[in-house]
Amino acid sequence: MSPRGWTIALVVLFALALELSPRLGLVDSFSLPPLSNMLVHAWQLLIDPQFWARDLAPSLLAVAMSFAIAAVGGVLIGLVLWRFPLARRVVEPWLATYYAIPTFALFPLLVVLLGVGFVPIVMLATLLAIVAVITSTMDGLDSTPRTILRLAESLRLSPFRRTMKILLPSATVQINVGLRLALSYSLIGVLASEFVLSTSGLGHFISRAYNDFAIADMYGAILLVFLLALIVNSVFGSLLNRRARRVSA
Amino acid sequence: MSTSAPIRNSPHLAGRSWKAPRPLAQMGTLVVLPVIIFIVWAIVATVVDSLVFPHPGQALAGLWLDLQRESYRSSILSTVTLLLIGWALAAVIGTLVGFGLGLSQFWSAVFATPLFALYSIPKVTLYPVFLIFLGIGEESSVAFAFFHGVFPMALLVMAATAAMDKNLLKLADVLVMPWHVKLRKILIPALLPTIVTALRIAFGLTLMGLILAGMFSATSGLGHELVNNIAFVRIDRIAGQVLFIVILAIIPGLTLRWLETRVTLRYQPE
Repeated sequence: MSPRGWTIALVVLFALALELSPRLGLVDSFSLPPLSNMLVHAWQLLIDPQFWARDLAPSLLAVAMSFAIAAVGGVLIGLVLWRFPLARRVVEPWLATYYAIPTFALFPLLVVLLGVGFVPIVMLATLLAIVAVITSTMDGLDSTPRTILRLAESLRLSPFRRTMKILLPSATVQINVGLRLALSYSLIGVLASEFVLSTSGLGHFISRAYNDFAIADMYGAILLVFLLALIVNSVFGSLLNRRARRVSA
Repeated sequence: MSTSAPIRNSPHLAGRSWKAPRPLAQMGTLVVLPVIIFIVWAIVATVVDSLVFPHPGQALAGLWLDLQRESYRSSILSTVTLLLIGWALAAVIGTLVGFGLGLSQFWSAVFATPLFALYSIPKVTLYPVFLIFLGIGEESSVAFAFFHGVFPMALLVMAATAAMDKNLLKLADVLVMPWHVKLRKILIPALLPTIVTALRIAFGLTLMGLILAGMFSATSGLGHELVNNIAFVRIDRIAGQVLFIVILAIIPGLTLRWLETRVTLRYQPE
């Protein structure tokens, strides 16, 4: 059987384990309801308009906004840092260490300053995602062939045209990698913030369900989070691949 | 998972032959950004002059007061201990699993997608499951932190092992190399750079997992201390504790980065 076949078999086996262990009494079925039960609850949540209004939509909006800001801001900052080597030298060692620092620790500070709600969540998720875009933009720009840069000079391109026509397209592959990472970080940042301290959103739904002992609802929402993450990441990945092929073709 | 271009490819070094960075100059450049941030912070705090926006001086004073507290010091100790345990576990298990999978092209193909999927989903939402099965306490925090760090470790080591030239291993068999020589002469040069990179990434994720766990439910630990202060809007304490956490993370972060550069230069000078 091909590797893909084995992967599918593994997933199926895991799903079976999740379904059967509570039913067979291997695991207490209050702590871990059977998979079918989780799916039913997930479905019930999906068709509930209040769930959409109060929890799903705010999360999706927060992810979209923080990703957009991180993407645009990250590329801009990456371009500026690449253009000014002195600034880059000052900032670069910190960019490399950035993900060792638990940026999330800033969240309580943001909440106290801005109140519980949408803004600190979007800010935190943006902060988490933006550095991935910055570093990958710089990596991509570094790999622009020098002859192309000299071509831009000899054509006397304005900085704007040079950026749009030469720099960004040649850095597309690396920027795409950064964007995929940033999307994943945005998702993680939004959900983690909602989980810890918020009044709405998918993460908040899960933490509230846990606190209220609505365990089946909690698992349903967790399944939805997984599904959301998988769908968002793979759709975005294929969108970027198509665009990259168009640019480099 | 971020990597940055090797230092020698940076444009500001273009045209010159690459020289080893001088440590003192490097440290000087390193300090510039934090100093700028501190100054900007102080200026903004003075201009805004609000009860809820802390001045760096207030943050430091709050941190000093906290450090006098026995409970805060024991929180620091407990967080650091759990971090080291979680990180070490993630490192060992991640490396072993990654190495084992990487040796076989077939099995790395089978497990690559699930591992990557597990890496990119927001695992924080699984924390209640940890709490349900392991209870509120240190076990669930460590397990959760471990869970965050093990996937990137396994993925990176798997990729590096798969990229290793298998003929070298066959050569080792032909020469009937004892396992410790094989380890020293073949496996370590091939894998150590990636392992150190993965250690750095796993460190950040493990610490983040631990702090998240602390913020949600722990009874002690730095995350818990942070959340404690929110309700009372003790802004100076919060700012001071955030500063402490950042410093706590920066030291290993920078050290690992330095180690990574050195190991890469030593074993893969391209």
